[in-house]
Amino acid sequence: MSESKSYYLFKKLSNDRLSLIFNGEVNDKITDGIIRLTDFNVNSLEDLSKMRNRVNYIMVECFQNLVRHGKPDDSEGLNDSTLFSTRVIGQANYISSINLIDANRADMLKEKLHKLNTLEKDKLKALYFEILENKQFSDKEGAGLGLIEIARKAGQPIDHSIENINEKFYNFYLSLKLASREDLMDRNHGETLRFTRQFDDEIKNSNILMVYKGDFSKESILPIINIIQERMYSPDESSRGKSLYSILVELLQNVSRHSLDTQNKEGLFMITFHDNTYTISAGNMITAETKNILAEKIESLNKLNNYELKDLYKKTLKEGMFSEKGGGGLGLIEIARECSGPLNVTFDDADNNLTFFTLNVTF
Amino acid sequence: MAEVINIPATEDTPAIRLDAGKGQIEISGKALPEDSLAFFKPVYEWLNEYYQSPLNSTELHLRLDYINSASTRHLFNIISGMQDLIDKQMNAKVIWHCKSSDEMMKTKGEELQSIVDIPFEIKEV
Repeated sequence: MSESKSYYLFKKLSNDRLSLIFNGEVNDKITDGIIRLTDFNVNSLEDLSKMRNRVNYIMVECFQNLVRHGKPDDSEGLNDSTLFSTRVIGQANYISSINLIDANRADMLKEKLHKLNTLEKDKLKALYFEILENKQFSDKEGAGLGLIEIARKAGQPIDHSIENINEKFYNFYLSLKLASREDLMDRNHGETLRFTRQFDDEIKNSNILMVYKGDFSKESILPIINIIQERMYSPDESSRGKSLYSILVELLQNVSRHSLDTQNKEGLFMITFHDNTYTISAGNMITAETKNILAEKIESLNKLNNYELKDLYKKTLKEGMFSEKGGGGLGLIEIARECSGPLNVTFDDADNNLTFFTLNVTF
Repeated sequence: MAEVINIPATEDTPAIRLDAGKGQIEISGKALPEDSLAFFKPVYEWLNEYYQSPLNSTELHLRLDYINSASTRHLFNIISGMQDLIDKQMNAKVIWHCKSSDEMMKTKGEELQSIVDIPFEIKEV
């Protein structure tokens, strides 16, 4: 059997202590969710918690930059999704973005960034106040204050690339690496962008809307649910929205409940969009023993129709004992009832007798 | 014993009000705690105390917007536990409040209703 997409990504991001890549339009609520999610994760990595405020600040500025310059009014059928990525690798936090801009802004932006990247700290500060005082700037342009702030907080030249797509549009790549002073001294210009764009481009050119690899405790699960609800248009109240909510809760809590390491509840979550269908996937490492139990359980659930699932649900609720993990198998039945087809799962064999288990739900 | 316990709602746990003086238990909001057993423990403890000298009539009011699978189990346990009162010839009743537009919560209520022997009313608003 060929490798599943989720396991491929899990391996690709194996050095990441946190990965969050969002590929789509961001709004304020999505921004809030992403910042909450990153904030919790960065803060819980002890050696990085000092960086927390700086990371938050730069992320907010980056988002505002994306929202403001997010995309041209008419992108004429080009892939105009905005990509935002935050990754923690070792002691470094990478923040990067890609967005489409109008060709007529490309030169101005290039010039502006070139200028910013040559300025020393105090010159940046002076420029910042100069622009603040001179209020004659357009809304969309935002006077470049955001970029100045990013440059100031990041304390480094902003790695970027503004690339021609056709005569009307350019892609604007921005990439930062927040790390130690020593790391900054050793770094070559362009190195950070070269690193981040490998993965960012791959995601941008795929049908993946979001990838998250990190902790799956409630502090992470709740903002993920908020982001997805926003992304997938479904208001809480509608029955479709409620179905989605239920699937997300059970799917994500399933990872949290069954992850091997109870201290560090790690897993991968992703959403893809293809042929007008969303596929939500959550995966984590399990033991060979759990694999057998799960495979059997899922096979038997997939033989049941909706009425039989309902009966099984009630029977399990009435008679079933709590499993060791406190879930009792109800979660899987619940997911099976809410999603339209059979449960789609993959098992990818990994090292040390472990298996990467992914549950995919189409919606 | 604690006569009244008020547990405020959070983003993932419901508000709970346990009032021994009125014989009322109320659970409202969203119930998706990460550790459902830890969350419901104070309720079990309060109920154990309350059942030592319950009022003649006890009502469990449920106003849930969402409940995850693990919490549904605890809810089932709490409702089933009310059988004790019925065995003692006392009144016990579950009142499940839900919006008529909320198919999911209505179905949840009906399913619980169908597997317990306690008087169980579904009130749609």
